Amino acid sequence: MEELQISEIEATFTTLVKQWREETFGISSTNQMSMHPAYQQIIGMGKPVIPLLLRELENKSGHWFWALKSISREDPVPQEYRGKVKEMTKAWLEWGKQRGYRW
Amino acid sequence: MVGNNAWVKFVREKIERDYPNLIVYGYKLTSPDTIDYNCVAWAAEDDETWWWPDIQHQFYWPLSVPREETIEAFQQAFETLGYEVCQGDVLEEGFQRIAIYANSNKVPTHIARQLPTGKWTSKLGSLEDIEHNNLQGLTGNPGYGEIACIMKKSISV
Repeated sequence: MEELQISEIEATFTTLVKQWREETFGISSTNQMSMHPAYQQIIGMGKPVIPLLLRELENKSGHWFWALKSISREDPVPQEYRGKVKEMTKAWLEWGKQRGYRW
Repeated sequence: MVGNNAWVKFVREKIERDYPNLIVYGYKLTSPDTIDYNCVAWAAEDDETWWWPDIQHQFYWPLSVPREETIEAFQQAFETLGYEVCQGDVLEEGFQRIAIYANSNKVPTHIARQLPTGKWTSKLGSLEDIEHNNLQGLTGNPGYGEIACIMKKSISV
């Protein structure tokens, strides 16, 4: 039963990611990107999707920083790295490893 | 090289879906897609940073400039780089121009930078960089709305 739930979460997550990417490709506004309904639904899925978000981040599929911050209530990115997407990504992936997430 | 033929076809279809005026006025892909920088950064000649005044303060925005999605704030951001508001988009020797686009709510949506040839270069959000023949190619809805402001700065010749 647990495996089925995990599978359903992943399936829903994947569908939402695909929709979000398709509908925000050309947008520069991170406010607009993050307010997109699919992105908000991902945030609403809560902590179970953190490892999935970290995987997406590692795969460079999009900016998942807002979602990770919203769900975890943490932000491991130093101020001096704001906007430096490569450094931001490294900081979040290291954060995930330190907390024992696997993705 | 900007991807293989199949990928280029896929990307062009996506771009032309969202920016149909490019079909009319012309464009070409010039760089691979990346989420490392956006149109504002590219216009500022920065290909390592995502510039936006986001409300969570996760992305870069000049410290001295109000962190708000207004035409005025975007003007101020480029004033920090030596740009001044001007009229017209005609190529002018000794100057480089940028153009700020905004939607019908006067919210900035995009910035393009003029090339020495008189054409324009843009980073389309998370997509590729393109070179487009004029500013009209990215206007409209779908598109980035209308041109809200043009700025220029002196450059060495």
